Amino acid sequence: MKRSLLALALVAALCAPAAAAADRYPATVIVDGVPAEVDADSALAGVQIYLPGGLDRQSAVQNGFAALLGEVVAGTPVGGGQPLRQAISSLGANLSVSVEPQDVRYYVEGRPAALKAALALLGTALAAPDFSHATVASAKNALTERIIDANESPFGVVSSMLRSAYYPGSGAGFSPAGTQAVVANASPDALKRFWSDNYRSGGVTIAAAGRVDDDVARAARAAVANLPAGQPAPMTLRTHKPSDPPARIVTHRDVGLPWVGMGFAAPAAGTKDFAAMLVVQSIIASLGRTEGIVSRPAALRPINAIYQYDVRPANFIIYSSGNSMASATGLREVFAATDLLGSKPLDASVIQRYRTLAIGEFAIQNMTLEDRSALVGMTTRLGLDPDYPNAVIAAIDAVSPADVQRVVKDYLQRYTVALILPRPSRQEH
Amino acid sequence: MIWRSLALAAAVLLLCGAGLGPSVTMAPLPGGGTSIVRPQTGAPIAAVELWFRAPSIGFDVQPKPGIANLAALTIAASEPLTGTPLAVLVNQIGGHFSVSTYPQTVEISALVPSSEAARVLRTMSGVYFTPVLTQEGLAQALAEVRADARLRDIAAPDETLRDALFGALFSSGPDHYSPVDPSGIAALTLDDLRAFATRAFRSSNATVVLTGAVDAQLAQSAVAGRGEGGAPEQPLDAHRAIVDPPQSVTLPGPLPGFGFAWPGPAIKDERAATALDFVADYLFNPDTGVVTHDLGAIDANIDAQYVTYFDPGVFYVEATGSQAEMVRGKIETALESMRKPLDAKTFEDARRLFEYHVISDVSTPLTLADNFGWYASEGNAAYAPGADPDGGHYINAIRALTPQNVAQTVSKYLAQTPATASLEVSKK
Repeated sequence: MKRSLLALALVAALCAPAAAAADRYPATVIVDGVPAEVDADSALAGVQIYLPGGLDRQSAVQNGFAALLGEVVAGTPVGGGQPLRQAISSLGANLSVSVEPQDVRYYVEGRPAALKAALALLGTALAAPDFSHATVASAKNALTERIIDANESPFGVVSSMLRSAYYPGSGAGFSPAGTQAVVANASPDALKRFWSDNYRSGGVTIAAAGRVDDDVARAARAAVANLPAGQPAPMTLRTHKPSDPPARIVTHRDVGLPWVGMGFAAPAAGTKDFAAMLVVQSIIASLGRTEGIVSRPAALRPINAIYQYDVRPANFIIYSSGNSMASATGLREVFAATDLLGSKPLDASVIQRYRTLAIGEFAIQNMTLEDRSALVGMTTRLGLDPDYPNAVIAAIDAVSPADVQRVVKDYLQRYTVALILPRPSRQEH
Repeated sequence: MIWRSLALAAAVLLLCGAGLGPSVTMAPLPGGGTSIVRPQTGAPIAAVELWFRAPSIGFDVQPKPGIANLAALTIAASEPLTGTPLAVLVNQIGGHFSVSTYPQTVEISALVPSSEAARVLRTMSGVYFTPVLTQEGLAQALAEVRADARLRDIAAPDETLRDALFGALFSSGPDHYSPVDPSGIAALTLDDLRAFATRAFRSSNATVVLTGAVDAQLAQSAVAGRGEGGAPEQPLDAHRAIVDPPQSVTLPGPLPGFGFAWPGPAIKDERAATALDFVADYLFNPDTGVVTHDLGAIDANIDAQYVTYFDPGVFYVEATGSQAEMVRGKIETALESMRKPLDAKTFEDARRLFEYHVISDVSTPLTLADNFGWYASEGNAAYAPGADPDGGHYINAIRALTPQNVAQTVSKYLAQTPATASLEVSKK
């Protein structure tokens, strides 16, 4: 009998699940100097490297430099002469570059051994991007295709209209890919100056998630060790607060129906109103939803709300696509909801439903290795408590009807309007 | 005594997912059927899925295209005796709910905060294992299927083309019909759907898959259902339905497009199936495929995959877009070139990248649960790429690939004349 039990215990131990169910993100720990959410049971690790070369570093005549420099780095020949992105693929890893309002983010993911080698290659390219004619030309071609695609996205156009108005005198609101004209005319020398002004070791943040060990962390730190020393110039984002009556910005595009967006000021992550604003986002995004059986992508919702909370100051956009509901009808519903939310507190049962909804949406939006390492990165960049992701979930759970009412009153009463109207057909002229 | 110890150990091994990797627990459900549980550290979310083996056209001799999809949606939308419809419950907790119907399987899936996983599994297993189908639920399901069909017509020409390719490749049976075919659903009655649901959605015909922030105990939240027992439905061998010689079909679409499809190896032929997966990734991966990468500014999207069915699998490749015809030659040349072994360096680089793609593709709770559910339902759970990323069947099969055996597999399966389908834009 003892033998039976021993056999059972042995087998049970061998096949025990890796972890018990958890309702929390793993704690963020510091692994050899790098903040990380460590998953010992993940096959992959992901590392984020944030550099101060984001949209806010661009003037109007540099609108596209941040993305073009990202493409140049990704195209820089390394090792055996392969462009960086391909060389990293050949190792069995992946590189992506995202241009964000206050940073440019290089994300590398792979098995730990491949990731370490990939980070070494990335370090080489970051420290000495190839500004040769061939690499810059290839980067321009790749970026131009993305700019064309971005210009065809009504939401992309609406959001850059609203954010540019909200962050005057800064590139923080520009479209991430930039403009075709600037990219076409960017000279290698001007790009090199942009690199040398901004890619400074003093402005770097590193974050990670997954199977992160000391070796991965060391490789991540080594990837930025050869950047030019020093701090980039300090930047402070100014905002132009939305006015009453609202300012209107109008553009024309090849769209079948009008698109309307409203831009608001919003509390950034780490501020007291952040959790309540997430609940408000869930309320707004559920407006006008004719509940289908299966969940639809956000892009197909008649009304949607995008909360850019990792920027300081943050912004909030509500847009109505007119796909399944006329924009005017959608916006009337938004106004009715914000009037109601601002005028009296929600019932306890209603607020509970939206708290649950907001927690679910927050967790699902921050699910992948890339999302989670970016969440650690945001926490680090904004100087928040390392356990902030779990604190957010707890804070959402504690949002009161009065909190929602206050946030709606403080943030959703003044806004800027952006309109995309169908381009007039030639026959109408 | 030793025999008894070994027998006991063997039983537990069976229960804890032998062959599915060290972190996977496999156990019987209270009402028959199987659960597969794979905990993952990470976000506090869980994927809760039910998989059933059931032909999309029903069990009758006379095919009823779309019946499985309509029945599954009707149940999700119907108000059960216990209260809130499943789909509404999942939406209310900020989760994502979906029903996916394949030729021989039905998947019910919810991605939810982990704190809600037990409630969702109880409700999901309750409504499917003891199906309640109401007239209101049916009305919503009909609307859903029709809305989906309109969306597909407008925005998903690749799916229309894929259904047409399968229709051309198979003469009959569930593989011939689109699993979401809306054309005949208006004629289906609530009684038709109930009869289908009673047989298809039994606990004893189900695989429950739980991934993410879950533990093995969570599977006990599944209800037993009606306790009718019975054996799980068996996979159908579709070889007899392959059309010979291959057919070509043309149908209207919102964009021009074309596609090719070939029958491939069965899921049990792990080496050959993995080789064709590799070929699809190497040539046509949306980000890194050598053909995709070569498209430049050409307005065309390529979609290609080896679909690992019970027997046979299907390799398809299709291109859609205003300039799709411009890539026809590139696709044909690339596939033909794969009949010869790649050089060693190119092959090794591509194999490493393929392994990364495979692991990355199953790294979230939802994709991992989909992966287990698919491979278990198609008859080879141990071959699921997510089963053991450090040494499972699939990863070992990738590592055993050689330039020569990939070329041999391509020559064997993709050198034949394929079934073809084309989309033509109406000139009106």
